[in-house]
Amino acid sequence: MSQWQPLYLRADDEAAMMDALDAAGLVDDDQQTIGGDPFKIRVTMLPTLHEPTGETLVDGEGFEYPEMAPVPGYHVNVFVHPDHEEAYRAALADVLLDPEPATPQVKYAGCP
Amino acid sequence: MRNMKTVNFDQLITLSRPSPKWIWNAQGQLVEVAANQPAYNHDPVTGEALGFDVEPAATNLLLNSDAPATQTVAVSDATTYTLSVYGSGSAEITVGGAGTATEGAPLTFTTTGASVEVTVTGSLDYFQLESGSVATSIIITDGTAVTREADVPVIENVDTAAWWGASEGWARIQFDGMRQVGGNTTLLLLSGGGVRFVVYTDSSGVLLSYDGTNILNSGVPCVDVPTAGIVTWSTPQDTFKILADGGSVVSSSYNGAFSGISNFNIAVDDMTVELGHLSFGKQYLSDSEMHEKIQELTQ
Repeated sequence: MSQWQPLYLRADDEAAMMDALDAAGLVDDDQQTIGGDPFKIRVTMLPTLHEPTGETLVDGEGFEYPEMAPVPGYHVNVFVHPDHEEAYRAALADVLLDPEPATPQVKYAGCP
Repeated sequence: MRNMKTVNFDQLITLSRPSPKWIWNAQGQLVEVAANQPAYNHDPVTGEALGFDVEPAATNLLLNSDAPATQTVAVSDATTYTLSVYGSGSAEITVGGAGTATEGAPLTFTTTGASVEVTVTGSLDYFQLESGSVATSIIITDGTAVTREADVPVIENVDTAAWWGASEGWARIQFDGMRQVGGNTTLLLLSGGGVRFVVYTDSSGVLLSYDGTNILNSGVPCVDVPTAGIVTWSTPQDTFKILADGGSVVSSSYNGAFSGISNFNIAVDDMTVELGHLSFGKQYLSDSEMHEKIQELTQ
């Protein structure tokens, strides 16, 4: 069986992401449950992502560490069964990162 | 119990877990289980079998988790996380929370900021920081946080003809707070040899049976309430009974003989079924209660 495929999603904010997931059929009618048929797709809501600003800070003990800043937008990863990848790519086109990030901050186990 | 056979996992359960996962084998070694394959976990110290491991999805936020080193990672503020470790030594939350985790004693804490610093002391083999209040199985990371997807085991419409001597056996079906959405729901279907015996609930959730001629109404509601209704049937007596709440019994003779049954379909809809000592259900496998049952059955 072919590998499930990760898709990386980003919207301007949480509300926009929820709208996109809802439009793709991934939000229950009660607006409480996110996710679809687990044999077709898995949805992973991510915490706020951060990236280095390029600046270096020094803590109280003199250790240097990189300054981090939030990555703009609201991020979600989805993992899609290969038979349904094309359909979900289309359904999530408005929030799909394409091309996918070269170095995602969160990836699925088993994926490079 | 007669005529029960040992069946392979995939004859009974369809499992979806698109991610591989890491579990402990009986020798205390951490081994990788391929995606969509059942993982039977063990206590890493005692080797005790812990059964089929059904877990929710989890993301290990700590990088290079098989070479633990002090690091700071971004988290959600005011959120519950669990830190777990394996090896000699400890990991302490020194910024963004408080507490120390050692092997066998994970730390569950609430974050007090958008990042936490995890300080490693001693010689740890693995460490893991995940949201929630439970330490799940080890997720090995490299330079990126990694998500292990949930185990989703499903039983549905299992045809047991190949592993069940239906013409001579018996079965017990238990309905525990079953959910139903409108209409009749078929719970058990025996068929073949001129037999067609159906146990079902009607649109109001009352348990009934139908033997091709007669409808037997138990009067027992078993939907959306934690009522335990039990149906037993036996051959060659050609009788069946419906019991509810362990008390009231409705019984009847079957309209004909139970002989020649070739198909025994269970879990045609949401239900819990017990065949002798084996109990399972379609809707409830992912919650903690069914997780525990499965573990017990597979130890």
